[in-house]
Amino acid sequence: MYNKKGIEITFSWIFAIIAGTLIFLFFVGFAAENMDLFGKLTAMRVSEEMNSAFTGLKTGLVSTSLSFNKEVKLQFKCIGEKKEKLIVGYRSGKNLYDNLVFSPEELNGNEFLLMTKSWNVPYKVDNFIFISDKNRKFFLDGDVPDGLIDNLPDDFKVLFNTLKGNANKIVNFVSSGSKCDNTVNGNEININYQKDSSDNFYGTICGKDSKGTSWALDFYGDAMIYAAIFGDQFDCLYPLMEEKFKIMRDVYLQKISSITGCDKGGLQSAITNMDTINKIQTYFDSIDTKNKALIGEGCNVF
Amino acid sequence: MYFKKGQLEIGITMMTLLVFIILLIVSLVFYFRLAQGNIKETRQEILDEKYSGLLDALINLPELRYSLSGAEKNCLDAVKLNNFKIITKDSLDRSEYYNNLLGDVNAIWIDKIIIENGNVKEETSKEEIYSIKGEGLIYSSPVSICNDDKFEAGKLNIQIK
Repeated sequence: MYNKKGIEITFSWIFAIIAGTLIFLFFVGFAAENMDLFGKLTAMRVSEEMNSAFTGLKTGLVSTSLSFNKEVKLQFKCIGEKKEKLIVGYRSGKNLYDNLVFSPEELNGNEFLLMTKSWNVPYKVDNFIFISDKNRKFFLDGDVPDGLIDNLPDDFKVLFNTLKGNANKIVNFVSSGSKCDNTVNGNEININYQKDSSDNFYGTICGKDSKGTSWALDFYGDAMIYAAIFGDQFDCLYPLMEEKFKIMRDVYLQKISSITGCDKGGLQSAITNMDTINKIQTYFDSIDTKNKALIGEGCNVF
Repeated sequence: MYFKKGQLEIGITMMTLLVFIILLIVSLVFYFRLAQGNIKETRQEILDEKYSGLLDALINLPELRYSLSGAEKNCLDAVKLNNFKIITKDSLDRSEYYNNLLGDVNAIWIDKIIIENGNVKEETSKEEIYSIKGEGLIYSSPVSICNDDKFEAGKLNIQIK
């Protein structure tokens, strides 16, 4: 003999539990999916707006800070030659392409310091962008060039108030014409420098990339020194700096070729000969003087 | 025809479930339409910011900016504008560099504004700076153009794919 009522009650309970579980799981899944979606949107927006901010910052010489409502993780990673990618909180990536942004590879915090510096050879090649979090510490050792820290905005000067043992990055300066020593630890760089007649620094910078490969590269101007200090991307963005240098060289060679009625030969040959970064210090003065002479004749190049 | 009590209760539960599911579907459709609208609006805002930023960047690009004695002036260089096409197409690497920089930009050109007898006359012919192809949304910004002996006013336009 079967108890039909008993079966009916059991069926209702099983039905309620299965239906309830399914509906509950649906809502949990929906909420999780949407939270993820908004996380992605926020990250995308932050990376897009940061890229726009970099483009805007590039246009002038500024020092500012960038604040967020909550703690943000930013990564500036080199992807191949001449390309840098900004990743916001592991989620959204944005190729920076034309913007030369120098920063530690990973930044954490809700406020970041930003400044720009123009790279002139003597005509302007580009503005470099420097970014750091407030907790980052740099230690400069050896023959530190005069004015290198004094010329920085106050927010950036504070980053150098530290002991050697607490520093995230150590920069060893040697006032010498010889090439720098490229046997360095991972968080160190060596800079050998001299000063030219225009009071600009030039020389070589040595370091090690994230894979442990040593590099030694020529530099000209304090903008490039700051790029090596603040940026973990100096070596991988070097080809992009070279590309920008060559572009501006071509821009002015083209401009000179369209000038008529002035004695432009000297400036043309000086700019033609200045075809690599290590030749800038040889031709800087000559280009500057010849440009001023052309302006005097009524023909402006830069 | 008679229904047993159990069948009736299952029927009522099914009907409740059906109404619940219909309400759920209607609210989901409504929610996603709203969310889609917001996403479109956000996308447009981001794109507007991006292309206004790009216009600013173009105006301040050392490749186009006028400078005198090493100091940048607040205008574009007429000679550099004329040569920009040659510079961007100099090599494959160079083309790739500018394609990356300019992204979705189809074309860049300047409409020169000419003042004749005190009347402003916008020149209809496009002074092409970067290749013109196809159609698209146009973003513009007023600019001044400097040459050694004269200054002109104009409108820098970019056309987006």
